[in-house]
Amino acid sequence: MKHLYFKEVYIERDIKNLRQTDSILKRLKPKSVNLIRDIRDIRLKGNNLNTTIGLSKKVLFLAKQRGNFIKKFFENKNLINCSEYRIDLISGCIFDCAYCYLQSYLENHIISIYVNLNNFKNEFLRLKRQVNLKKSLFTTGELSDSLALEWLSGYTKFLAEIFSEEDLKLELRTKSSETELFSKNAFNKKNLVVHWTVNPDYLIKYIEYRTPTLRERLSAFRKAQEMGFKTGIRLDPIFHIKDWEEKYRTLINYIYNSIGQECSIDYSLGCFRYTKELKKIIQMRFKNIKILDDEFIKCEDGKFRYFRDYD
Amino acid sequence: MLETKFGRHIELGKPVEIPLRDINLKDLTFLFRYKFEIEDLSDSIKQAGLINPVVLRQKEKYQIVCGFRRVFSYKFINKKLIRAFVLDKETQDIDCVLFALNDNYFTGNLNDIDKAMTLRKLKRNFLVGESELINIFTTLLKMPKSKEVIKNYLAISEVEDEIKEGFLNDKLNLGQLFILSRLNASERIPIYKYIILSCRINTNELKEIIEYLTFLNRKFNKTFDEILDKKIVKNKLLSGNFNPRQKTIILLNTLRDYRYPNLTKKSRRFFKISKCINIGDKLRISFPENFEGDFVNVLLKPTSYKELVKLIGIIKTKKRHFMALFRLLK
Repeated sequence: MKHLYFKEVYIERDIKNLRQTDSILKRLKPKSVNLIRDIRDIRLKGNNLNTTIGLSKKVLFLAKQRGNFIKKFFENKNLINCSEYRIDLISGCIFDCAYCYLQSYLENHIISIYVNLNNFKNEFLRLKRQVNLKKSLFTTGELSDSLALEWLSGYTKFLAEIFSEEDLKLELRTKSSETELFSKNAFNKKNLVVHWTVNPDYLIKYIEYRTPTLRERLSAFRKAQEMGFKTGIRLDPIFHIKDWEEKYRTLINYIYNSIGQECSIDYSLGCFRYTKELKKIIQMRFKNIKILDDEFIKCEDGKFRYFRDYD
Repeated sequence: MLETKFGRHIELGKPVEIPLRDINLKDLTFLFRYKFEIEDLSDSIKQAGLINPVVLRQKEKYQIVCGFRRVFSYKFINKKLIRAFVLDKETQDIDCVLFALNDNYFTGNLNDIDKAMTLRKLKRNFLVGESELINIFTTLLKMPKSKEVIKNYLAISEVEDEIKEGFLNDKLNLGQLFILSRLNASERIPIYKYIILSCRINTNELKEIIEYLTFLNRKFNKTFDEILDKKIVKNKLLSGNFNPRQKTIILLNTLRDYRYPNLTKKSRRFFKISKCINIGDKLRISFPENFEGDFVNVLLKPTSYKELVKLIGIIKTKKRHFMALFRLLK
């Protein structure tokens, strides 16, 4: 992961003296930092969207979260009295998956670590007073990979300690091979569920740029399991590739062989889907990839999904 | 004295008679029309003479600034002299441009192709920047002050003459021309040749067809020409037995089949079964959009309670077919 060091670092003036800023800079050891007034004024500009997004992967912003850190992200009809929340301590991802919805979701395409953690704590306490969170599920993997920047921010550890104290569930979603967190004993492991997103190895090479290989991910998975963490595999997005059944069967066999036949694994599944905006970006950035060349139909929520009834 | 729309004052002096042979008829620097006809004007000049003198700029030979049609009509009817205002040879190109466009603004109507070609000429030959195009020239060309509009018109200036002619001859409308102009030449020529000229197609249908063709082109790595030529045109469109509207429907359905093979197959199966139910206009059956759902839409249109009971009775007799429809939706 260390090859992904950022080439440039920008810090908002307001937060330059915060302890968290200092701690991140100590780990990153950048040659220089640039002070800015407000992250919202920043727009990275490459020659086109492709170079802009490419550039964004090399620039880190340390900023103040001005909105809410915690957002209720959807009502799951299958879960009674249970809500799902997302926590955005980091926005943007160092990985560059061709299908990633962040490409169209994040307007300024930048990777920012929010360092005003006191505000997060206050917000969390406020929410806890207002709502019974015992049956709620929290995740950090919506606007960024949950573990990819853990070596730099230490945020998952920070959250794990809080969630351990409060006995609440935190789900991590990652493609990372980071394992440092799993050797820590400062929190109750039962409150943490770590899901690795995987795909057949050749798809990882083909469309999940700058991500660890399947082997590396499964190695991290094994480590987490050995250390007593609850783990799971996310097959999301699944692609309707040629001989997809065979390829995904091989993948599942490979997973079982890698992590031991005796382990039971939680799987969550989801097929590839995209919005109109994302389609344009994928077509522009990744001209030669064929993931959009299928029979997608527009669904009620405006997203495009595979036609359900393939022969 | 002539005042341009933007306040430039240029001394015109008195009109003088200039021999036609002293005018450089090959110099089209200030011509801002794609094409012009002279026969009507020639007739008018024969009868009424020249009402407005043309404007020329002094050079080795005179250069036409305003009045190309008048000068060429004069030549057509073999006149030797033409009345003209003569601009000093020091007059700037951009002043001549403004003159010419002002003249067009007040005396003639530029069509959309003229406007497109004018914008291209201003940009390429006179190096007019985008902001000037928007702020000054859109008004002279009677166009909305919009960057997007300028972009669209500059794109249509690049389409092939064959398509421009087609537009001028009402083979396609402006919306369709804009759509074609966004494609590259190897895509738009077959669309124009095989689709626009032989079908009767509206703008939304054209967009749909292009979406299908773009998809098929990406998926199978075949050009528009190959897709249309091999599969559709030879077999269906050129068979000659259909009217242009029928051809459009055939084309859309054929391309939709290629684009959504499974959806089409399933729809066909659904229609085949629902056809067997056939209760006439009083009952309509349809599937949820794109089969996203496990229900069948059934619309009954009884005009009385008695008829409703009768329809329900008929539905009961069609149990086997309804069961087949529900199976299809599972």
